Amino acid sequence: MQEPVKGTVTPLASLFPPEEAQKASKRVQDALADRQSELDRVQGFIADNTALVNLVQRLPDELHHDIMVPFGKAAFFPGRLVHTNEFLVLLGEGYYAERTSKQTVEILNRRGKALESQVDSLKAMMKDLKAEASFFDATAAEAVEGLVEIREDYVEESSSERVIETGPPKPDSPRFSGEDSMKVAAEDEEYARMMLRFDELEKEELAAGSGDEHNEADVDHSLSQLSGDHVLGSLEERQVRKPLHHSKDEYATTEELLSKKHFEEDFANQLKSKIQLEGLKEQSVPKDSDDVSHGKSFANRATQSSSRGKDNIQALPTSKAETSVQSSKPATDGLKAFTGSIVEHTRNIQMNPREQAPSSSQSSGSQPTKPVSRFKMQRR
Amino acid sequence: MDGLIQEKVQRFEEFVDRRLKPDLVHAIAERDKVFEQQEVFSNLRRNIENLEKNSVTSLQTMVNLGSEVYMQAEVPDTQRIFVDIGLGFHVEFTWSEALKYISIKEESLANQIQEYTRLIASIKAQIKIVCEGIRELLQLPAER
Amino acid sequence: MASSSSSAAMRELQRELETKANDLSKLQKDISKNHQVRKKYTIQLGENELVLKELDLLKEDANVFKLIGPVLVKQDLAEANANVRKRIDYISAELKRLDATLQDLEEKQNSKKEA
Repeated sequence: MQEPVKGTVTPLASLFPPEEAQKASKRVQDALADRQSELDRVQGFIADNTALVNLVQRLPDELHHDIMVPFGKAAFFPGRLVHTNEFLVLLGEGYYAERTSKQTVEILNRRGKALESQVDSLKAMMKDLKAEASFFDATAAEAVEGLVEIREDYVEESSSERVIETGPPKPDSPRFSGEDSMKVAAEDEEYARMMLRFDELEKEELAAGSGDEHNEADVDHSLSQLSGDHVLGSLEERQVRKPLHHSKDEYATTEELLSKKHFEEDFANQLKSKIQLEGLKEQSVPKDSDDVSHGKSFANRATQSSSRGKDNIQALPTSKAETSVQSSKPATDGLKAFTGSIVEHTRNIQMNPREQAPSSSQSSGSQPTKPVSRFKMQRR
Repeated sequence: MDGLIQEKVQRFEEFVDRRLKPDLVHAIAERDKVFEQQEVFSNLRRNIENLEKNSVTSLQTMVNLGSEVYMQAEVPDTQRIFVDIGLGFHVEFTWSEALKYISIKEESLANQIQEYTRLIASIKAQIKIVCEGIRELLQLPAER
Repeated sequence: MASSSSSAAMRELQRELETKANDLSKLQKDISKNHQVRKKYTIQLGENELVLKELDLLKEDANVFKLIGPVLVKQDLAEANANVRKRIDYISAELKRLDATLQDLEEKQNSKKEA
């Protein structure tokens, strides 16, 4: 039971077909263009507003101003502004108030601030979208180049103890394509170099949420451990770390289903954090914001299950039904969180070697988060 | 033979989609603009007539300074009115002159509308004819 | 006999599937409609809250008007304030109702999806 489980190597192209990634990128670009036009509009409002503030401030300087008074849309009368310190300001919803110049300026400044904050949020949104777009672009490019994705099981808290998957393919690991792992072996030193970099991020991820690695581990677990894994996920969610125990011999359909779900979640979470967080490094995705929300929604379940899980990591056999119930219950959260991408990644998932599992639960995004630790090796 | 028909059908369809339909949309948009102008001028005429009827000599209104901020304005002498005659020019009129101008303008606008209506009808007819042609092209071989 | 009954069962199954699919698409339509309405109300709520904030900043003697149709009607500040509050309450209640309906719809949708 204690034997460490090796990770998996999946060609990136099978996870994210290039065309799909490009399509996604296109959609993000469209959204970006929408935001841009919205931003232009709001900035136009701001310019109008500042001009108006200037005008309102200047008007009371004189007792009256000669102007052409509009009369309908097509005609004017020569006339003049009177009562230059009395303004009638629309507050909204059809309410008007009589204000002095000074008071009007105050109102307008408040409006200006609201507009500024709108601009800020739009800009932040655009930044996220840009990050997302570059992610999709990069993914598409990488998929074309034949990058592979390597996932491993997180074995010990200490990052130095992680097992690096470099060996030849295990015969008992069906997800391993021999070709891929050979590639991996060739990339050893680069791996080591990258490890240093990723260790940090890895730790961060793990601290923030459950490690993706043991999703992989989950697959390898015997049926009897399924519930234990769930618990573990929840525990990790609450920043409790436990060593994992893996057995990799049994492959029940349930597990395949489960792992598939996790896979989808991974992608989902990845995307989500892409969206939510700025300035992300390409493949390493901190999960903090994710986990906050998930942590909340799962607080209950996590607490319930943690007591159960602590003493039986090797949990009693859990029925398949229970497992699926658990994983599909909070589906709405996931759907709400991102509607657009789910369709996308379902399809991607179909490309996965484990696609035999029925894809009933693309909506399980609110499962305990499974941050992704991924190492990408470039083919040479 | 079939290929020739296919090609013809495709050409006709392109003609409808790329030429006639955009033309139609454009013509309708133009006509709507003229409708708007017509409304503006008929409003103006009604307003001037109102002023005349009530023999208003001075006037107090609110001027929109932008962003729905208004200020009071007064017009001490309503005898002179400046009417937009297009291209950014405004002409100083007396009321009777303005009314005369407005009625001429309204007539011209009505003519424009009629023209556009005719244009729209003819484009619609063309679309129908071409569509009918396409159907015939497709049906004839089927009937044979 | 066996084959005819099985084909009948098949047809039955297909019909069932169709009705389910229809139900699902109807639910999805409802949900998107709900989203639209909610968006509208959210915008209105924001505007009303803005108005309330401004009204709160006004002194008692300030003149407040309400545009009703083409006419500006002078309103008491307290009255306007109360009106806006009432409106906000109404919109909030409406939003809550919409939320409940939405949740309901989504639950239904999910159960349909599972089926």
